[in-house]
Amino acid sequence: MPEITLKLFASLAKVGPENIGGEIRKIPLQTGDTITSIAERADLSGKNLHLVILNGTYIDKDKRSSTQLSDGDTLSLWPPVVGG
Amino acid sequence: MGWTKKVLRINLTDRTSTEEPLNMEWANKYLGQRGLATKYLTEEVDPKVDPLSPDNKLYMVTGPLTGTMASTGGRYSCVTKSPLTNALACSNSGGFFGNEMKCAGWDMIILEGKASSPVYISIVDEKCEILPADDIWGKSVWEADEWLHNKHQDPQLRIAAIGVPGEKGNLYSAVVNDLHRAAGRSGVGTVMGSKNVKAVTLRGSKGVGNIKDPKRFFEATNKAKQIIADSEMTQGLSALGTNVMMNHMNEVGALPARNWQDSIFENAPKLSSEAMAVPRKSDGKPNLTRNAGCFACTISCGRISTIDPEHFTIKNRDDIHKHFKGNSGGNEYEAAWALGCDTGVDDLDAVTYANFVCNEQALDPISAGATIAAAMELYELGILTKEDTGGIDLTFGNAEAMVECIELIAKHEGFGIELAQSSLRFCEKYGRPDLAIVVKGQEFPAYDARAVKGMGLGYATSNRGACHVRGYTNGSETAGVPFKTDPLATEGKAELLMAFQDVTSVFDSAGICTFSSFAQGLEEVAEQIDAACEGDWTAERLGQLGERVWNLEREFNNNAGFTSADDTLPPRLLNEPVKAGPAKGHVCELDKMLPEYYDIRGWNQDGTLKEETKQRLGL
Repeated sequence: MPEITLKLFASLAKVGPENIGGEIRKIPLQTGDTITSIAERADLSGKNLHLVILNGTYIDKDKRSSTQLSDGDTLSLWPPVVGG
Repeated sequence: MGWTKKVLRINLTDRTSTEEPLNMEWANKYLGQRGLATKYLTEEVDPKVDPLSPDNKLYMVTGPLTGTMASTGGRYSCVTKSPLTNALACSNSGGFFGNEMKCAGWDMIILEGKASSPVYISIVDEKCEILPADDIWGKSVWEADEWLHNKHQDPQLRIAAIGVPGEKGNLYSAVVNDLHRAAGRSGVGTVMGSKNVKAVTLRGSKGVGNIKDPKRFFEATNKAKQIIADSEMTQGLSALGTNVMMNHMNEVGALPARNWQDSIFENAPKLSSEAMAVPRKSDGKPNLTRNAGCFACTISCGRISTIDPEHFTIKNRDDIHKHFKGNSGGNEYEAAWALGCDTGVDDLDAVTYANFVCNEQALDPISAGATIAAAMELYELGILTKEDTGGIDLTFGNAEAMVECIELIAKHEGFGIELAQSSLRFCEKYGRPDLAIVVKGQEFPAYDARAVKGMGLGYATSNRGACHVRGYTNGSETAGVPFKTDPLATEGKAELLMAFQDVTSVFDSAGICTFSSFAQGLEEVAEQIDAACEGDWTAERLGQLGERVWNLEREFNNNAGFTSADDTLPPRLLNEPVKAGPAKGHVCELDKMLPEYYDIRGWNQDGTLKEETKQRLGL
């Protein structure tokens, strides 16, 4: 079955011994799945998904509901984060 | 008026100190801290001076908001000519040393000359004593701190000190205050050591009570604090610290690894902020105990950590300071990257231990880690052998080897003496200066300039050598703050960088932390300064002041002998494409950005300032 890897970081992640360094989930892919639909299924609808990185590339807010996902994609999500 | 308007000048050669009025003409043009001390430096020190000679000076300086109720108003800087880069050095620290200087009644302390034997400087309000430091010379910062607190019988004494490396001429020695806050970069601690000064201790009883309009200042600082409190950026810093960037930079393929041979570190998650929060098996505690804040800070990004008691670095060891077995300053992003990813080490406790050592002995963890990483590459190439390393198997990823190196650097013994000369000089010795990932001799921080191109332009043009906090375009390029730009594009980066550089110059000159700029802007800073200081301060005036500071620093470096040829990047960044990830195939096209940068700066293409630029900025 096609699936994507969903990586959650910072305050989005539930970390523990099984999830050192971030939360990683495998999400089965349904026909027509977009970044937005995956976020909804992952119970992230109310979160501020400031940084949405698909296979290493940032996806603008206005493109998330139209960006379809493919088998094997990696979707990484953060709330607003900065450092230095 | 924000400023105390008093400067303490200490002549170490004849062991005298004098009080003098702050030059208010300069304060009005350069504000304080970074800008103001740079003005003093340019007026008082020959740009071609040998940085380790008595003729160089070390300025320990606050800004007008230091010591006030402005959020993050605890900053001070060490400004001097750097022995690492031979360029301007300006290293900024938090903790509680800066506000104590203001509370003792001083805007700035100037150390000049050289003491004939080791001394420390005790300042209690107006009283300044230059005292023998024989009992603490050769000791670590942590040992000196304890000795000084005991000697003066004052738990509230604030202390900034150097470690053994700073005494011995290690070129990336820091000045550490409050045990684990550091004026870390460019070897400012080496300059202090060259003057035979071990420490400066401060005790102030005055407070900062000379605010121009206290009611308006209260309102302005409250407004700024609310903006900072409401910002998800700064909330994230509080919860996760700066190391929250570790996974992010890795996922976007811009996390340098193994001396920048790679741009993704496969084990980065093990070193991340998220990993620091996971309870370990041995004692059920996570690496991170809690966050910590500097004076007046409402962000509190600092980390307080412990090392796993079962870890090889501390288990069954009675030769280490007690702080290694308790809570102390934990990993920031840059330290975790340099001591971890850059050396290929994925052992969180080994990296935490190495970071503790850097705090204990006042070392810049970025330069220390990067120098070890460069040595590791030389070793793997067979250029460096076990004969050279004293038997250390210096392969990438070898945590024991990394720890052994950092301990030798800290003690300034054996192979550590070789590594103390910094990566450029070390790599030059072995005939491969191209493997030193430096600009102007200073080691790079943790953003791959091939994958975040504005950062490459920033490294090349930074007035203190490669640096991330002189113009953090990564905020925009990968983190989307204040707006998102394409990290792989070169277009528009010159303008973006100049804006970041000039705004940062203002924050660094005001006495507040640059991290607050993730939430508050120049408008909020101007309101606070205008309420605190005499004169009319607007965002526009501050913006030009930031530009003036940047150009003043540039002028100092130009007069020190730097040219446009020094505004470059290591060959690896210019010629070796990224191997994998979203930036695969990319190099940093500096040549597409630098001419435009010179142009919008108002500089000639040889990197010198145009006369009209000097006139416009009043230089």
